[in-house]
Amino acid sequence: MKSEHLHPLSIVIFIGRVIKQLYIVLGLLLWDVIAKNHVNPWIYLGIVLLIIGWGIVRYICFTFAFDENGLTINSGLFIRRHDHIPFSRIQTTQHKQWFFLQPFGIESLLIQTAGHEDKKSQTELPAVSIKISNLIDQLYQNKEKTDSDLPIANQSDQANQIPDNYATSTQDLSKYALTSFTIFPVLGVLMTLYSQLDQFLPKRFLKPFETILNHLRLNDWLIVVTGLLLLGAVSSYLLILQRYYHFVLIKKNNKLTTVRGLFQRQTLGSSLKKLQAVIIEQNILRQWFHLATIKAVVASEAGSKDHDDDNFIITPVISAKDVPNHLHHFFNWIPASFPELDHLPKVCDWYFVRNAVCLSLIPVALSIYFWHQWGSVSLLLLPISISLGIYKGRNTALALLSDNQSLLLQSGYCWTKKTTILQRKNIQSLVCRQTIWMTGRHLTHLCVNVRQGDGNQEVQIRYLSDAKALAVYHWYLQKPDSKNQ
Amino acid sequence: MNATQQLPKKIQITWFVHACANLILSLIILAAIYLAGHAWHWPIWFVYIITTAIALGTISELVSIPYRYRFWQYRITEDAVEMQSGFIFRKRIAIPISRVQNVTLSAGPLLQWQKMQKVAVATASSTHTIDGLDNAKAEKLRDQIMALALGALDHEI
Repeated sequence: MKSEHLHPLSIVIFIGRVIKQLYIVLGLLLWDVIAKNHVNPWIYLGIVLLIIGWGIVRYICFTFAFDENGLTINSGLFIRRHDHIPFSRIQTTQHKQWFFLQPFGIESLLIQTAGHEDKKSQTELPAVSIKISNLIDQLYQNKEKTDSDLPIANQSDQANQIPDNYATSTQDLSKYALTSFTIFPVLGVLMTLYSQLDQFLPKRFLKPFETILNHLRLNDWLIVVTGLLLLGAVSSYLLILQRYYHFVLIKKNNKLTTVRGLFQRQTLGSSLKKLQAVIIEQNILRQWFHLATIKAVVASEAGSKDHDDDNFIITPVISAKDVPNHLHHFFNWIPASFPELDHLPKVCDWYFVRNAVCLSLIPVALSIYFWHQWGSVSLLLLPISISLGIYKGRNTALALLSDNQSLLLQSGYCWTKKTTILQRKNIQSLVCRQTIWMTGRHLTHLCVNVRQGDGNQEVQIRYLSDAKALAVYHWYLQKPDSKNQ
Repeated sequence: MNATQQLPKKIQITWFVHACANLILSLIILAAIYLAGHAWHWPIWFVYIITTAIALGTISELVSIPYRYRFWQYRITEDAVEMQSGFIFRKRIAIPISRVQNVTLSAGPLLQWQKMQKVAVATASSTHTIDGLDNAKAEKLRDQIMALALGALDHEI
């Protein structure tokens, strides 16, 4: 194994990272320049040289080597770090390429394992030539293949040589973008940007704006607000469109890969047998338009909750009635049609409504206590929480799939329906919860623990009847007799 | 081996001591709050509320000890660990042995004094704990679970 350096262009990336780490200091310096506080120019030169030098040192210290078994990465100047990743432990690989690196044939390669010790489960080669990153990916896939010891599986591998592709059309993506709720976070970002402006820009830049804002009348305010909403809507639309631009899902050699993105092309891949679960998500808008989003749950950082952007989305948008067929095509263990779901009886809606209303009473009581008449505006929370409760109750359901080895759990949350499909082997543990008041009514909460990202994801089906919960409990504990399926 | 088992009786002693320690700690905090309130003239009902909360908390903790003991059960079969606890808030957990990644034994000063250990059974995602077992039994349990886990199909995540 001979150690190699990254592509020299990675110096630029390292410099970019140094700047990102020092952004507060650099921002202050920039503010100094704008505010015309004269500082010795040599200091600026020194800082620029320091940043560039730092980038170069990081480049020199960073080497990597690989063979057919694993990848080793050496980094650090004062603290030398050697990361060794055996290929058989890889959960997901991620290629990222910015459009401006395309002409050079360079991309960054991220490799994620299932370790959950101090967030070091992700290793990155910031800039390698595509040839090398593809070679590493190929070696990893070969390892996966030799690990599957069944000769029969190899034959079906042969059949799988022809890749199965699924591409999302721009029209579908438009539908997806228009039915998304991203506008709210985007509006939030706009607001915070505005509130941060006066910290970074000197007063004389903002003064004219403020005088204009102070002299606005109601009509003008309406125009400003509509303008803001439109801006939010358009930017969230474009944001989503560029994120999922030319989305393709590929199944090849028992590996699932997605490719997407306009400015940054992202390729995310994982071995099919390492996927923990499949989630079908529909917010209420998409439910009306019969659209669904499909995500995979992986046991690596690529699937952790705090990286919502990096979620392993395997299909951003698909017509809801095509979902079972589509899933069956990519996952052999999911049947081509879903069984009839077992919904909760209507009476149970009451419990969800009661819980939601009780929770909303706290802010209502507080705001009425503090703001008197104005606080009663918060009473609007009551109908909202009632509708949330009913939505939750109506959408809670479960079913055993026909192969008797997998479970389908459906729940509603914030006007979003979430259906989780998972195999018994991927349920880490199962918990039944019950309060003493629920025993009389023969109800139980069923909680299923799944590995997601670097932690636990609990899928909860609330207010299930005792008998059904117990049936699932025993189904989970039965001996794995039909192992050869 | 398949029979349902209970925690050792003496775990109630540690729970009792634990409740007392909690009480002492909250009394110290209460005194601090009282002095602070005196210095900055906070309304006196604030202290009353906290006192009632502490009293209710301690009483319920003490009263619940025998119930907690009575309803805490566990069972180890050939292919699963099951735990059941609680009277008002009931909980029943199933962990197949093949999902067990590791078993951790630990003991704080109270458990050490009573020669007991806490057994934490961890899967790839969640960890479930048995509050306390006799030293010998805890170690036997660990060996038993690990032996079964090694014997079970090699389970990768």
